[in-house]
Amino acid sequence: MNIEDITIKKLATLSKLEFKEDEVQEIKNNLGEILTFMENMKDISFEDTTTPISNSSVLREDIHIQKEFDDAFYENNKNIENNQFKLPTVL
Amino acid sequence: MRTTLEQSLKLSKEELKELNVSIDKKSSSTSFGGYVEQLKKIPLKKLDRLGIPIAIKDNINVSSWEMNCGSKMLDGYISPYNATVINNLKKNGFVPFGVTNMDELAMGSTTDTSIHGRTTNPHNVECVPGGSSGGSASVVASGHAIAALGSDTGGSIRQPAAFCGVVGFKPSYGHVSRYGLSAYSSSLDQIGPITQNVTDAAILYDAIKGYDDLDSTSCNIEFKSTYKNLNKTEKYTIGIVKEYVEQCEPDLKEDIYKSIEKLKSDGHTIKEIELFDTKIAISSYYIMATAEASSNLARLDGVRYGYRYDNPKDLEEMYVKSRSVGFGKEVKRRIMLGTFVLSSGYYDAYYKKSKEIQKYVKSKFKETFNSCDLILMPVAPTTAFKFDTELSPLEMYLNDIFTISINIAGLPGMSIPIGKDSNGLPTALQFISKEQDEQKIFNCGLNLEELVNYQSDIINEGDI
Amino acid sequence: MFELVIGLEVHAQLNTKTKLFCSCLTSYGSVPNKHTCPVCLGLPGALPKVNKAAVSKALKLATAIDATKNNNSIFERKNYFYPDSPVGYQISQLERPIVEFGEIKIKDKENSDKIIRINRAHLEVDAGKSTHFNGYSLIDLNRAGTPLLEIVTEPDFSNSTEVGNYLKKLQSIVRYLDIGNANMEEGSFRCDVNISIRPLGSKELFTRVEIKNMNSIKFIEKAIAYEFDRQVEAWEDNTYETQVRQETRLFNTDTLQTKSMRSKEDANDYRYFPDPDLLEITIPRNMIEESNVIPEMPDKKVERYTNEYKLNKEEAERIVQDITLNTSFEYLIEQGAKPKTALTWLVVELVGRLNKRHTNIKDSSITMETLSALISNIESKNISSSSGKVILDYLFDNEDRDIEVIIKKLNLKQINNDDLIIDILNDLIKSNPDMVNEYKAGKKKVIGSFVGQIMKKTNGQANPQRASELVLEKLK
Repeated sequence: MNIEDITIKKLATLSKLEFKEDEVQEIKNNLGEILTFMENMKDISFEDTTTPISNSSVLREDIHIQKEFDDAFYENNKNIENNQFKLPTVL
Repeated sequence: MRTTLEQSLKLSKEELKELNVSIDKKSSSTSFGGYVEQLKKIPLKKLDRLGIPIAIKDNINVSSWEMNCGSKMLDGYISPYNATVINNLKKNGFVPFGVTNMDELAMGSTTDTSIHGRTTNPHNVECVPGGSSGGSASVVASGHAIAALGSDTGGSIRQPAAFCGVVGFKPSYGHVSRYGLSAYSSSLDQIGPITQNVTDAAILYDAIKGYDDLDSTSCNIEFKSTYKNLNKTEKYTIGIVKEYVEQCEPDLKEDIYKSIEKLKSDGHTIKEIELFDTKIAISSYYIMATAEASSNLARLDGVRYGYRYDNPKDLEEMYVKSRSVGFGKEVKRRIMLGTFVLSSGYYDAYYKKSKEIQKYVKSKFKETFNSCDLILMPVAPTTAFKFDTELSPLEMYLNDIFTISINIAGLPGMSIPIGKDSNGLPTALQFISKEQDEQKIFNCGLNLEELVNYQSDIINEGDI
Repeated sequence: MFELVIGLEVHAQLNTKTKLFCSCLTSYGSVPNKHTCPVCLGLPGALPKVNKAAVSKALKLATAIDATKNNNSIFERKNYFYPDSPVGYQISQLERPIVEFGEIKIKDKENSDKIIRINRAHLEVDAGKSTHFNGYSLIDLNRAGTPLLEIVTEPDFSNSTEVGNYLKKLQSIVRYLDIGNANMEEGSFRCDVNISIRPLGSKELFTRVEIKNMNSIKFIEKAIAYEFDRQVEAWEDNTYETQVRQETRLFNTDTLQTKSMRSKEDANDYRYFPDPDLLEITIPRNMIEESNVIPEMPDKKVERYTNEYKLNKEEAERIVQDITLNTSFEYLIEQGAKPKTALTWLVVELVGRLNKRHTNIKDSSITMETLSALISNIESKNISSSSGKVILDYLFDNEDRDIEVIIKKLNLKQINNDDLIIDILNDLIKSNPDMVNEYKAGKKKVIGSFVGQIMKKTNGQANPQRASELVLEKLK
């Protein structure tokens, strides 16, 4: 399958990743090869099996439970100010 | 003579203290690099608490320990909480002791993609220990740990166990809580034991399994003791997929057939069965796993913890540069693939299709278990291969053909060592049962262990 | 000529004790990041667990608006990056929301009934809060994970009066159900407005523009007005294609204009897929049944008040507008007050005085117990109605609350003794013979005069109705 440069760019933006010029070609090839391989399953149809994928969720009571929390998590974090997470300006 | 987990249950407090000291001492060498601490050249992480020491994979949260998942992106992340399995260990007299190395964010089968460096195979340091729980397998195989916990999404416990000649068990999906396990693929991940032998695996499995209120995917069923119900004399109908065995390397193939013969002679019924084209399972796996991973890893963004790029000019740069520098190649590749298969216009053809395949695989296995108690399969088509073997990403993924479908179907599977190839590398095979029926795996595994009478010499030597 | 086509999406915060997917408290105004845990901080390994109470509250809304309850619903992940969303996705519902296809009746511009169709109501999480400074921002995740119920209408609104009426009605439903505070100023009731125009009479739907996060009905009306003009102008100028695009705009409360939220990228591809950490939500039968039992809703109350209590429609609607007022009203009736009396003394007398003093009923120092006692004394004719007002004023300026004691203190006990009145009346008749003649000649006003005199001579304590009756009798 042929993945275009535009698709790579779009995917990278959605994933918040960037690739250098040479990396773009490599990842195009990698993804292309993998997706071509996956074409093999496209034509196969599966009888609608009634096997459910999973059970269902158990709901939680609306009760407050104070979870254990080791403050070393904050102490070692240099991006904290006034107990909040600090960031470069949000646009 | 090695102390097994079973033996350590009977140790006195003094003997236990000695055991811990001995592990510390032995692990201060950096050979094999199974522990992250060995690669970082620091002392093994431990708690202020006496218990039977269990090595913990670098993707399981232990409160106050740094957890990196083998990635730069989690550099500096000090976990503030304990995974449920850690609390379960403590309840049963075990303690986390040392962090084992892994492929970055559990994506890989070599343990060569960790930011801390590579872990080697104790049987031959030029060979991979397997992955992603290569560290856990390596420390148990080398005698640096009594037992360890690993995680398995597409074979990450079973394959390194096979490559290192130890026992690795992946539980039925939902039998062990995932709360506190850094998620790779939510619908496939499971934590499981990597041990010296089958009995130890039963003990450790018992200690960690159970329903967890904090995990919505946890099975709300009654759990019985696997260890107490071990019975190596029960005979089973074992299904063999000849086609799969034929795909293996000669020595490995031979050892598998020898084991089948031994089982047959011992009274088990061997039956030839057919499953499905493994290629389909692989496609489904990689779509599902990468899709879920691309979403699960979105929380690693440099905002609240972990690595953040220095002096970004704005938020966008902070996100992009942090993640592009923080993640390794394979992780980025899988995130991109995962994003693609979920994206508008492709979701039906890929992700939705992969879920249909999942139903198909489950139903195929269910059908098979109508006429078999167990399925016997290879774990991987080869024994441990050399580092830096030139394989494309796709070729790497194809190594997972025998382990992946078990994850997709949510079934339990165990890798058991059965011998050595002509290069001295361990050979192994895999037992699979239907869900919640793992007692049969342990029973037959125990039986097989006795029949092949194989224990790696590394395991046999050593003073812990 | 053009008409407006408007649809609304309201995000109502639910008043559960804990968050939607973890057991952190949902309380506000605390130390930043105090009410957080691995789940709502988005730490590696943390997993969501659905809050039963949030589901119940959503189901209660379904009952109140005659909607379908989906007892097998799914949570999906809406994937996008933003610092106030700690896991990098919002857990929401897409394909199978918990509530679908209901309706809410409102009044249109002509005050006739109009049905607004509710397309869906689904559960999702609220994001954290970011505060912006010069060169940086700070993120507080206390609010992240709070349950929201997103209620989406069909594009059934034609003008901002209907929009305002709908929002007030929905607020009152949410409050009467006790599923949320529905407070726009506090941010527990946020509205996104979707606006498009079309030629008058057309049934087609054109480009719709979204205006997000409105928290005042007044501003919503202004935003709608501005957008209408903007879109009509573009249409008439032939610049509709370029000027009116499907986009999100923000309303500027100073300039009273909407402005495009220009973002660098194209529309975000949210890549929705079912959250694999949460299996399908199957709601147990008993939960569905329990949700069928809801408190009496305002519409039903209005019906009951007009039928049983004989209040007129306006009065009935007035007394359901505010839930605190309504609760007070029903309490007074429970304590024995007649509906009309309760209405007058609560709404006209008490609230009237509270308004003058710029307070509201929640902060009133005069409790319903006190008001009830006052009303009971009036109804039993122990005091006159005008004395009641005197006492009410007294209560505002003083601390004592024992009505009986106050009546004695102010000497307001009504004279119900006929003899006393008759004595005074006889005196009056003797001293005003000409007035008696005027009455006999047809001047009815004399009665009022005599009653007035009686009231004066008794210091206002005579029962005015009785006095009037006695005067009438005597003069016959």
